[in-house]
Amino acid sequence: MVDRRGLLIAAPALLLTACGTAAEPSPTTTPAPTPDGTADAEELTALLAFEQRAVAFYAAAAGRAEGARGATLARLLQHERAHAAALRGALRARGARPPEPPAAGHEGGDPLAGALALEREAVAAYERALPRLHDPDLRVLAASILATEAEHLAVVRSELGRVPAPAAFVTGSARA
Amino acid sequence: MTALTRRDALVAVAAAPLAALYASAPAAAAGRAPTLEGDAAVITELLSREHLGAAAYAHAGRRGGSRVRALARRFGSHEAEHEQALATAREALGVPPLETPSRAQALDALAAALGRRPFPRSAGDAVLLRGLLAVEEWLLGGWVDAAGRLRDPNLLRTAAQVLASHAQHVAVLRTAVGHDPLPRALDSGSGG
Repeated sequence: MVDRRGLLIAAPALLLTACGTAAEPSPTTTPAPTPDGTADAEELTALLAFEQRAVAFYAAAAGRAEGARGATLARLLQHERAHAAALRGALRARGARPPEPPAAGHEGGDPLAGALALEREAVAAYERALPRLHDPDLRVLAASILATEAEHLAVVRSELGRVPAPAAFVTGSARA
Repeated sequence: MTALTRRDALVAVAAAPLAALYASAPAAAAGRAPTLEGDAAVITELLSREHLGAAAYAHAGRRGGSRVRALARRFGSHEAEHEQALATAREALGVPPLETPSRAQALDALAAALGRRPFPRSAGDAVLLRGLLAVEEWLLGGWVDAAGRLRDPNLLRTAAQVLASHAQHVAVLRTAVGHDPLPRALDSGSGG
């Protein structure tokens, strides 16, 4: 929720944000890092590390489930791979090196319960990152990934017999 | 400060593109309403969209069967919370209140924004659900677009939470009309 104090405190950030639009680099040049660009690269790196963990989880989990649940997990894997690729591309465009993907995958338990925890974490990660990204194009990319992660959360909740869309403000917490 | 009239708001909403909402409204041209810029303009567009979303759920809640009524009641209450958050944000920015359009006027404005009437006369539940899906995808598109235009970090955080809510509505409605709930990895809605 927005309060008056929060809005006033945030006013100085407007000047910083106005400087954050990054041009697409040419193939032969690496853009010089800027304070805003460095901060964006750090946010992208954290999001990519999360997506790579999600890919590892779903790659293992999809192989352990059958039928409709297996199909859902395979779709989620496909989406997380696409998110990782988009973030990797954005990082490389800023001259940053993407993190190495983790080796470990799903370690047991109910794959859908694991998916529920992971998708909550995803929503929380993008909800946290969105206000920190300076480049408007990156914010739109993060918003479109967040939308998909929230859809994942609704579908997983539904498959677990829970209310798929219980809250007006979705934060990734246990209730929302 | 002078409150915008209902007609001004409706003219502005119906006269897409929403990006130029108050800059193109007759009241603004006549100097009776401020020309909004920056975050104030963006949240005004979003509040206009949420007003129309709330009207869509109110319509479906009156016309639908029990399943549609239950869904419209639940998601309609979410729209009301989004409207309240945006109205509070506008007030904090010192922007005059935006009047809520009547349901009939809002449905006309929705038809203009979507390029078709989302709820034809004598619509059954399936048509109502498809109409709600079109409205929700349009709402989602507005919020994803706004993520690139808003600058205040607190507003951006609220935008993240609300767009995630609309994305969940979209997934539920896609399922309800028999569509794939997860058709794409990057979902930007429609009409952003």
